[in-house]
Amino acid sequence: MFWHPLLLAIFCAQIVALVLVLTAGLTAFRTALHWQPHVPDSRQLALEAQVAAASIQGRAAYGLWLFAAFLLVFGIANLFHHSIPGAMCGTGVFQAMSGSGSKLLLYLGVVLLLTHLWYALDRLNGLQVDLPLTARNARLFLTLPPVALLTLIQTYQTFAAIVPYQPVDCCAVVYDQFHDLQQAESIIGLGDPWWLGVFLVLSLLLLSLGAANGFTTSDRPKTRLALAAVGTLWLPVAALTLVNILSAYHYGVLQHHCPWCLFLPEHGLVGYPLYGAMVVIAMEGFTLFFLPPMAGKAFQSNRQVTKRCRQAAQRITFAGGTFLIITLGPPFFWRLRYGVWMSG
Amino acid sequence: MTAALTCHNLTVAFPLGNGKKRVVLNKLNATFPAGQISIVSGAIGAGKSTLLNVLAGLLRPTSGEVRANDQAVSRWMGVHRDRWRQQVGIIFQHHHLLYGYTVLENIMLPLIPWGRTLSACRRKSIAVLQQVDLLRCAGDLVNTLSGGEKQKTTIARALVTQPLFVLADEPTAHQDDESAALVLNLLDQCTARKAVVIVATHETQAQAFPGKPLRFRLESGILKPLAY
Repeated sequence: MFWHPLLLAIFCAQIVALVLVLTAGLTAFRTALHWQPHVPDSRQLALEAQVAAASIQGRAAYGLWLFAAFLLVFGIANLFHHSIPGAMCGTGVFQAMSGSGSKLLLYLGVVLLLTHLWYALDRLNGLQVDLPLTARNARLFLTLPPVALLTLIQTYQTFAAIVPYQPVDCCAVVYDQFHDLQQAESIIGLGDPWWLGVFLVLSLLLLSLGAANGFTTSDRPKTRLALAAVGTLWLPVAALTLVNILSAYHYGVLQHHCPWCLFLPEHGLVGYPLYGAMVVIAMEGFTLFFLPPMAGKAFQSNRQVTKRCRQAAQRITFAGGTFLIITLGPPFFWRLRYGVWMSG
Repeated sequence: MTAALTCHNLTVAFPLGNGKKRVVLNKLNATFPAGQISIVSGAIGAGKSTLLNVLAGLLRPTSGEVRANDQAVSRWMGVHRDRWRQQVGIIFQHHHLLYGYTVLENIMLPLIPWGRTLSACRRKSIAVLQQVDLLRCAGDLVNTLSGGEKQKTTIARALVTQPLFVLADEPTAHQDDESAALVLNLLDQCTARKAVVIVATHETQAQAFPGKPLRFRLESGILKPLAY
């Protein structure tokens, strides 16, 4: 079992969040069964007060998960590798986790996506006096406790799997991915220029669709769905292009395909804004896709749903723009300075 | 705009801690019209203050609802409840003034959420202080005031926003005859601008109200209209 004071903070945040979600989950369960807004009897009025309390608990849990996720990434990227022999960045820590690190990030991602959607719906619901989305949102909230529990268990198992003092070789993990130069300059059999082209086209689409949705007063369901779909496609392409091609301009060397070194201070901590932008695009894209059908006809005024979707599109545009500036800025600067691209 | 305040099957019960409940308001139904003073009288502990607290949105009923403009305002939550409270001027029995602040500052406070400028807040507060004949105390700290002056400050604070709903809990309890007449006259002026004015008071003080207010008696949790 690996141990670090930061882990205590991560576990505490996750445990408190789980307790909050379980408590609010009981109210969500009762709400899903007994919500009758047209009957002002004692049970309904008591339930309304409990729903208000559960909303606060859910929001607190969301905040705690965001906090725990940030601490986890900070720990993996910047702290824990100091305590693991041979590890120089998060890749080494992941290697020590014996493969369960990706599972942990996946669980955490699912929790954050679900909570973010619930939070968006909860805020929309609170805009109307008769709380029309309460029952629907309660049903969505009921999906959280099991995932939250699994995340906590996975966090424990992941760090329990680390054997302290057992050396790792994180550079070997990075460089053993390819046997020759041709393999290093391609992803899934396709060359770097191809991936770069796809990335640029998708980025352009993302920004233009984001701007079309984010800076208009009318509701555009088709472009909204297109933005969510492009965002979903853009995420893996952006991640692969960043790690395999564009990160070279941050590292100053070719073929160092490490996703975690971007978080290190010697590389300007650029991993935080870059991956942060990707998280924002994932969360807002998810909201953009699921919020309108979930709000549905229960919501009297569609204007507020449109407004929230517009906000999501603006955030996607801003995050996409930030990502592009940070990833494409250094290559262009390099080209201006030296007259050639790094790859020749 | 005129707006009546109505209670539908309003029940308030407080848990006694031994599994039992004390029912203060029992399926109460009533309509308090705009442009007329409604007086609610009753014995000590009858639930007059509880009724006003529920009407003002300070207390949630156990069951039933309070409706204003056909909206169930007693069930509103969060920002909506704040919005309802901003429409209500409450004259508390126990003042609830901020003792570290001056009279003028206490009266200016309810105007802040309305987003008025400081000079506009000050101008309106001074005007209402003149109406309650307390302008001489504007700069005094509240803890230096007498009981009657504190009550006048509470009245000025409740009326400064010109609310459409005025709820007064024994507004003349600490006043001499002259001041009581002034306060009753002020409440009467609120009805002229079609506000709903509900006054909780004792039977003896209820006789002093001008005009022909609606009279109710709260007994055993039920509100009964009284004839003249």
